[in-house]
Amino acid sequence: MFFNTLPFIFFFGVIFSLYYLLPSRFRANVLLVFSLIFFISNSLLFIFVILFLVLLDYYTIKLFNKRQSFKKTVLIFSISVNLIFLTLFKYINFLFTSLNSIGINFFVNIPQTFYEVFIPLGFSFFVFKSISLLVDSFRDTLKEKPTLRDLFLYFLFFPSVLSGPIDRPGALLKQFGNINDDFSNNIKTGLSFILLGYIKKSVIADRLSFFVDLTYGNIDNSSWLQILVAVVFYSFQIYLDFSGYSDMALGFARMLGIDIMQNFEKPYFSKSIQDFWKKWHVSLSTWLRDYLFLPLAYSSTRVLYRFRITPKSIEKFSYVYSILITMFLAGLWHGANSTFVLWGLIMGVYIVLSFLTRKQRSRFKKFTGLNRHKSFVSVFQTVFLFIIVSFAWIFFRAQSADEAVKIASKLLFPDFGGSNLFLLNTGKVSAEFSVYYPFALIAFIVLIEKYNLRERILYVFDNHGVIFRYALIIIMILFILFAGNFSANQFIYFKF
Amino acid sequence: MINKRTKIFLGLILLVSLFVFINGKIPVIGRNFLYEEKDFSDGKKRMFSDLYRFCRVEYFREEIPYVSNPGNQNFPDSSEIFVFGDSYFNTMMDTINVPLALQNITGKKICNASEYKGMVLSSPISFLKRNNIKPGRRRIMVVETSERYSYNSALKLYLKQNDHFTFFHFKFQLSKYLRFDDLDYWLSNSVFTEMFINRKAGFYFNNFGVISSEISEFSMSPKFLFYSEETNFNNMRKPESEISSISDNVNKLAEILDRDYNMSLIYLIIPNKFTLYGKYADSSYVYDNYIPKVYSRLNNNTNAVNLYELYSKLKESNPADYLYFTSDTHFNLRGREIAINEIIKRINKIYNEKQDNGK
Repeated sequence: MFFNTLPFIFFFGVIFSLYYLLPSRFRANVLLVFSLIFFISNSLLFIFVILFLVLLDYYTIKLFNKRQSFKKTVLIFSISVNLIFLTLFKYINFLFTSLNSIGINFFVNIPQTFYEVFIPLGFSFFVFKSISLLVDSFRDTLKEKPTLRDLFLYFLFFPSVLSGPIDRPGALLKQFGNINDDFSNNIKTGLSFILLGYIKKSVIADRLSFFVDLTYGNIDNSSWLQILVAVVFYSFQIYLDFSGYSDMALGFARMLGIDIMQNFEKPYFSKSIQDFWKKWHVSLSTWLRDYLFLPLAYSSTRVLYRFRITPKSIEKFSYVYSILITMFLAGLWHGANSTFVLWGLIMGVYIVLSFLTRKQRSRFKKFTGLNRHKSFVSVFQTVFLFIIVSFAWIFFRAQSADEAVKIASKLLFPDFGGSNLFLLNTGKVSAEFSVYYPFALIAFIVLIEKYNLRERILYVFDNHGVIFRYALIIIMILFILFAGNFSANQFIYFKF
Repeated sequence: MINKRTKIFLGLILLVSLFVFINGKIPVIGRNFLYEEKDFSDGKKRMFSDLYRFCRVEYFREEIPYVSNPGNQNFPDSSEIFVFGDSYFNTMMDTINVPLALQNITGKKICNASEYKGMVLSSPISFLKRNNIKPGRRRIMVVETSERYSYNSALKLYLKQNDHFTFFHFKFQLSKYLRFDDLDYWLSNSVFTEMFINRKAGFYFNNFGVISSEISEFSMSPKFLFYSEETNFNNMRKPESEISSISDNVNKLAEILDRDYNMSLIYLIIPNKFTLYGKYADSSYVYDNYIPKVYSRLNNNTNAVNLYELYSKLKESNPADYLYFTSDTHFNLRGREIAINEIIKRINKIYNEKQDNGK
């Protein structure tokens, strides 16, 4: 049962109405009960693993208070247990296969049933949340020690349990005991995010997927132009799919008076790759920054200061080293597959190059007088960023590294010799629907984002009467139902 | 704060949501609102074909008279023939299911192993083990599989010795109560949503050629819908080594049944609809000869029924005499009749051989 299915809407209807109809002291309990049902309906037996890990975290935090001397050991132990589980569920097959391919054979055969039964949806998100909780508790940045109920809610809160956002414990835990009671504002803001989420996911992303799947599934017979269109479509598909999910999560949480992190802040309007990563999957990128990049950078800087190296070189080396490790692990976090690792490394290289060339680029702009044409530079930067990010997405989407290289080389070294530049064979689906309609949808979403239409509609909403408001909501719902594709397309990020 | 009007509004949301849940989860109630059961003015019970249900395009609408099957549960111990099959054998809508038909024709007690006591078993051997069947008088095991499932079942499942309890079954049983597929089914097939879903499907199909993703191919004339699972299977590369393993496993199954249970195997693969009629949708389609390849490596003791060969001949001699429903995955009465006749021939042959040996 996912957000983009009809049963979920009615499931939410039950939660939402009970939540506000019952006395406020029951609200957190209502959330916990329905979050458990939601989780179990998606990942049945895995609940036992989750229960174990939540209890482990709970008692670890308790031990932090009692045994100050063992704090670090306890922290390392608990994080290790989390990581062992993550490895067991996500990476063990990849590890053994990789080792087998280089001649190291393990006589361990993990039965398929294991994976069939324990398919842990959203486990990577769970582990990152858990590490956040443990580290923040270790650093004493949590104002209050969480109760067991709140801890379960922190991990299992249904809007964010499957694909995040990876909320910080401090921000989320305090809300469960003090839920925002502004009913009309909760509804209005929540609904606006939910509707936008459905437009992104069901109306646009799932329409783009047809052409993307068709082309990526048949690279050998696809022309340069067709691959180019598919690569562009995929850049939008992954953004709209994931940000659509995040908007829905945010909207459903908001309707219940709980604020969760906004995961996307119009990343494709960024001007640099660093800027992009501040706006793309914000909860993950800030997590990586706080719990991986900064500790790595500090520790490497400390080590390098022992040698006679200039502070500038230390800064450069430590940045490059920490970024590459962080982005490598970010790639690996997405999945046990060389394509994700390559994607992470490509992104890491982009960031490093951008960091190392920032002075030269600034000098170049001055030298050529480009710094006087800010709007031109701004457009160029946005387009250039979109191109390089789209190139990286090829590795993210391809089934294998070989396939990604094939797509990239077909794209970079086009063969225009063929009789038809656009070898489009979309079966019986018309070209208008498979190519031109998605382009129109992309233009539509770009306009929504560029001109902040969600906020504008909210403004209009506030300044009109009840009939207008209801009519507006009904029209939008009917539009989504009619234009949307609801044939059970899962969210791309669920597999992570 | 929540005022009285808001409370009424919330109460309505709760009622509507609970109404949906009750109808989705309790079929006896939910059935009253399913559109296909309300749609027939003559009062006779019919069902829509499975592929039409997926796509909801009026042009392909096909109604199949529905006959409910009486219980067909003979105890394994007292049965002469066991039938282990999939939906081709068990979910015939317009007539009684195949095991029951075989029982009526042969007069032998037949145990429908694939749905015995609601068990979900993947292997005939584990069925026999679970029911503690001992080798006694000569008996027969009919194993049927549709072409698209034949690969995995023969490759991975048939020789499984133990299906008693696995996490998979545990999960399956629990999932029935915790999943919301039934809700989804009710919502998309109820009288409340029918008009909207059908109109939307019609609009996208008529204007853009868009059809549900479950339908990977279709032809307008003759009318045919093809299920994506079938076309995916037909287009999948099948290594010769694996095809050999499939045949080897079926041969081995026959051997184990004979040696350990004193049973004869009758094995049959029902061809995919796309195998026979795929050319109507895609004129360049060439069948990879998967079934003939498997059958060419089967031993005589598998008593294999080569429906592909029979169907192909019939199709050639009379192309308009369709053996499958046009918008359902399964064979129609004609296709079913041919399959039953062939199985009966094998059953008679086995019993005749038994009598000869007895003499």
